[in-house]
Amino acid sequence: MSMVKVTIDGRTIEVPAGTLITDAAKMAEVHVPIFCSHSKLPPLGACRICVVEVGTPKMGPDRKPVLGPDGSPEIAWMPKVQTGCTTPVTDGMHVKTASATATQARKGVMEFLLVNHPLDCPVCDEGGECQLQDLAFAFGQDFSRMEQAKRTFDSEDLGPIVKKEANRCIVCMRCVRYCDQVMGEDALTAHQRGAHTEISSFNRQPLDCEQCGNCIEVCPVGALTALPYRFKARPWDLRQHITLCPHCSNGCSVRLGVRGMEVLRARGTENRGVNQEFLCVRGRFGHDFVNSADRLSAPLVKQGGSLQPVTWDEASAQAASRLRDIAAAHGPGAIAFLGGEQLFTEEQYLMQKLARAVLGTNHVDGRTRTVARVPGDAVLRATGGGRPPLTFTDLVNAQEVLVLFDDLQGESPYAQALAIRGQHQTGLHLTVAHPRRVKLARPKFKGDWLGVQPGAELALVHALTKAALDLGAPSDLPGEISWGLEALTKSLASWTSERMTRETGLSADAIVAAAKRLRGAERKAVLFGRAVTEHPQAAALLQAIENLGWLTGALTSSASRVMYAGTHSNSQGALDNGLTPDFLPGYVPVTDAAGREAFGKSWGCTLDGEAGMSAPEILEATAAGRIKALWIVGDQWLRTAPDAALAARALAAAELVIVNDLFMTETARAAHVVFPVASFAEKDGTSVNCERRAQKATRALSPKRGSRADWEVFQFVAQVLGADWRYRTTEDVFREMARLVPVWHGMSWASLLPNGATWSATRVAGSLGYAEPDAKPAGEGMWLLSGGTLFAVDGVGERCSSLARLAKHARVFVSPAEASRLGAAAGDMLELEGPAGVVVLPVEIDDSVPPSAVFVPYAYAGAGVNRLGAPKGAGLRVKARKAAAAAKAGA
Amino acid sequence: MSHAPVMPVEAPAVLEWPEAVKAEVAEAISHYPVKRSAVLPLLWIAQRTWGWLPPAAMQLVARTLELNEPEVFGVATFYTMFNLQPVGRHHLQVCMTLSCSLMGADRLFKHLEHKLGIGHGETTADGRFTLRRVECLAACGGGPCMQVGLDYYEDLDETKVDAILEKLK
Ligand code: SF4
Ligand code: SF4
Ligand code: SF4
Ligand code: FES
Ligand code: FES
Repeated sequence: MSMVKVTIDGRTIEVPAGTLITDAAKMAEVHVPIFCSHSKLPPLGACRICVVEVGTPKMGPDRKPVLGPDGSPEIAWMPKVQTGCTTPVTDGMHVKTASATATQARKGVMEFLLVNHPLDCPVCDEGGECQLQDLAFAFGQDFSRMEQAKRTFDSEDLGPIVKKEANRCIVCMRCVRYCDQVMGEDALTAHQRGAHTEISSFNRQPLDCEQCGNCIEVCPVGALTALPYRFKARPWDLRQHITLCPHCSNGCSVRLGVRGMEVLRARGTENRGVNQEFLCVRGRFGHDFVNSADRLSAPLVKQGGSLQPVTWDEASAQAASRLRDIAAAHGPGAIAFLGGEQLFTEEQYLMQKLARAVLGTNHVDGRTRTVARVPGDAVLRATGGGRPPLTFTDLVNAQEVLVLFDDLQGESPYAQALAIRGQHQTGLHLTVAHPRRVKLARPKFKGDWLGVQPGAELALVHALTKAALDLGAPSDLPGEISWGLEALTKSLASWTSERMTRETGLSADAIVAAAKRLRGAERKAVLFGRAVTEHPQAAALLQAIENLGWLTGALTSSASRVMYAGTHSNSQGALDNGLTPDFLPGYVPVTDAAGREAFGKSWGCTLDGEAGMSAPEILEATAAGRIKALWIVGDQWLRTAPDAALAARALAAAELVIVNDLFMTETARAAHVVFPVASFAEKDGTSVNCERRAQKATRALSPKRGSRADWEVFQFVAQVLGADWRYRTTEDVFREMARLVPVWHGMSWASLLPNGATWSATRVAGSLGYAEPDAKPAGEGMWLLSGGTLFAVDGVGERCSSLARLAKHARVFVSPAEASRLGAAAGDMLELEGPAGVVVLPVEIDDSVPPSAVFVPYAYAGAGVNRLGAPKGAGLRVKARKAAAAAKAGA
Repeated sequence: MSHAPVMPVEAPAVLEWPEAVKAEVAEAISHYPVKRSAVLPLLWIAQRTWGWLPPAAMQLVARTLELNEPEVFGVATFYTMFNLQPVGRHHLQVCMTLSCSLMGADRLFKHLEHKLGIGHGETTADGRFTLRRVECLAACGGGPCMQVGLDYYEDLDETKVDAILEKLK
């Protein structure tokens, strides 16, 4: 990129050609005020507060700069001030930001902005952090020349989140543009014109949108404020702490505003994190569970059939002695650990260390929602085996993005926002493979929807791979991959166009075109997530995605363009840190004697060399009485486990159930020992997001009275069991990890600041492989589709007042056609019968659901979708009929 | 004073283009390389069809042009000549800008208010007239002037206005 020289207030710097004056000023550390310009949005030039004086070298008739007496070029100053946020710098440009002319002009702008502004700062939630306040202080006057009455608007609630006081609006259009160009919602618009311009929704209806509150965040004044936070606090009364959002794998940084022991709000950050200002509705309004009154405040032990509060010492002694007894009587293999994907990295490490080194069991699995055994390194292989990962920056700049089976709106809201911004900024093209017509698959976005038949996910990936293979394999494949090419070619030979169409329900042309786009794009991205890892054929599907990656060039010997967005905030960390039955931390196979010995030496033990059971196997074994003790880390496990009946049987059969939780959940109720644990906001640690970026979270407040961080729980029990653990903080744990675990070698907490770091030192060898898709389950019935939704309320969500309100009640979504076939109208009760049970839910009609399928989101309070049974083979079919009961659900 | 008018609720919830204008709608769209550009002509057709722009009409335009509803709403409220509320059979728009003002527009408007018993933006109870002040109608040579529906009347005074009203049933 060519560089140009620019002089701003006497400081000369070199910046890339095309840099805007305001950005160049930032680089020169000169402050130019802005209102309407925003780093995520194209320049607009609406507010004029950024005006500066601009001059360029005077050119002589010979097209050479005219030199002044001192030998430097003479500057021709433009007769009028220019907006710095829309003017790109040119070589030799001079800018004056604080000259008398510029300041005078800015004062004029300020006077205009204040003509109609109500100056009601004392009752404005923005007061104290308002850019208008700041700049009025800098450039405003303490009197107004305006004699007429100010124009006024009524205040308006635009739904349950956004409060609008249009009197305060300076019409910078940030909210409207952000909603359109980043959120892809376009829910806001400017009504009327001139001084009467007012931001509102279509016909002033409540906003029908993602409710992200980003319009509030980017509003430089108090025209848009958050209803849930209205009149709760003044910013200067809040302690503000930047930590990580716990609600998905995107790993956004949130700035929590804490007063006393209460979290009052969450905001984006200006310069930190992967997300800066962006938060989705869950990140912004999913924090009040921390303050919830029903948080557990003492350890509980089951005595005489009921859970009784005890001291921490008693609880850890109980847990330890009973674990010891079970290990003595039945061997360590009778103990299993489940969950932990939402813990911090250090805690995950300690959890598996407790299991492996102290108790001696390899039955550790974080992936509680899986229904089949999946090798612990399958995800890593599908994402390039440890090669430098796809970052969010790569994603927003990609030309072609393939989304495999996830609804990003529900699973990865930030990734969705990046894809939408990419569409506006660089013309990113989307290919969305999903049975439902999810948001990104809607015609309003530039892209193609592969509306694959439910259950045909593996078939589609095979078909895409075959189409890519027919274009010729990429040349720079690593040895182990090119070696497998011949066998794969043979296996895929049966995927003729007819078979593609027959098995996926899509035209072969569409599949071939998608493969071509992905193969041809220079900058590309492939995204997948829980829909893959929780698929009944997850292992085969992950292998197929790895094949696809290599054959489309999304995986190369030097980098990966495939991203895995896991189920929980730290799903990636769980894989990296050995919360899998077959791998020690850092992807050291349990079966690798040398690796085992290295860990064993440090941990002071001999490690079991046989891989443990995976989550579904653990449940079967517990139900069958072979595993006696379960330690479950994670909220609402009974509600989220794929097969509720199996989970319940396992819980009932286990001799000892230990649960770490914040609340008295159904799972905790079934436990013998319950440890009350700290929330995400109350502990320090690191978390690995879907970019495989390890980020440091800092606690915003101390743990709720009586609760402890999960890592402390593990340490208490380990100590009682005789282990010589002496970690004072999670940083101590990280130091040990950096020493022992290959992927963390050489890292420290300090090296993770400010914006985290990715690891790519470890390599897991890739491979090509092939497995036939399972036959579709025969028989009648509709496909059961499930998945995360944006407003889904899981165990913590239902304790967040705004989220719970937005989520409304549990329901089943059906297409208009199916609804009329079933004779069901919106609100009627529909009875779903699966292999394991029946649930009855009110109907919502939704044209994104394909025919002959019903969609029930995960984890909804009261939905109990997992009571229908776990998907097997290609998926799950249920019988649906209108419930006889006259019951009609209220909205 | 300065609210975007709130739509009366009795307007139908869903509208479709009547057969009679379908060709015209298609024709308007065909004039532009991108569909969205036809938003003004389509709003205009809608207003002609329904007399004003009920929300359902704006939704119809959005649907037709694959635009977002708020976008169409923003456009419709930007222009003063789109009626966001029902208007009477005869829409009297009196120019109040400089030339007309100098020639007595104010007096004329007061006369109309008095005679019809309604003020700016109001409609007579029988639904016959809606009265509105507007900015320059670009007929400054003939001030004071008034637009009734799509017709212009120039060089007005009270008598002339009375005669015009007489003819408008
Ligand atoms: S809350 Fe989010 S989606 Fe809704 S209007 Fe604001 S920016 Fe748009
Ligand atoms: S509401 Fe806020 S962000 Fe939106 S235009 Fe007004 S001042 Fe700008
Ligand atoms: S995108 Fe994910 S990490 Fe970011 S705020 Fe939303 S839930 Fe939290
Ligand atoms: S910041 Fe430059 S015009 Fe608004
Ligand atoms: S001033 Fe009345 S028409 Fe121009």
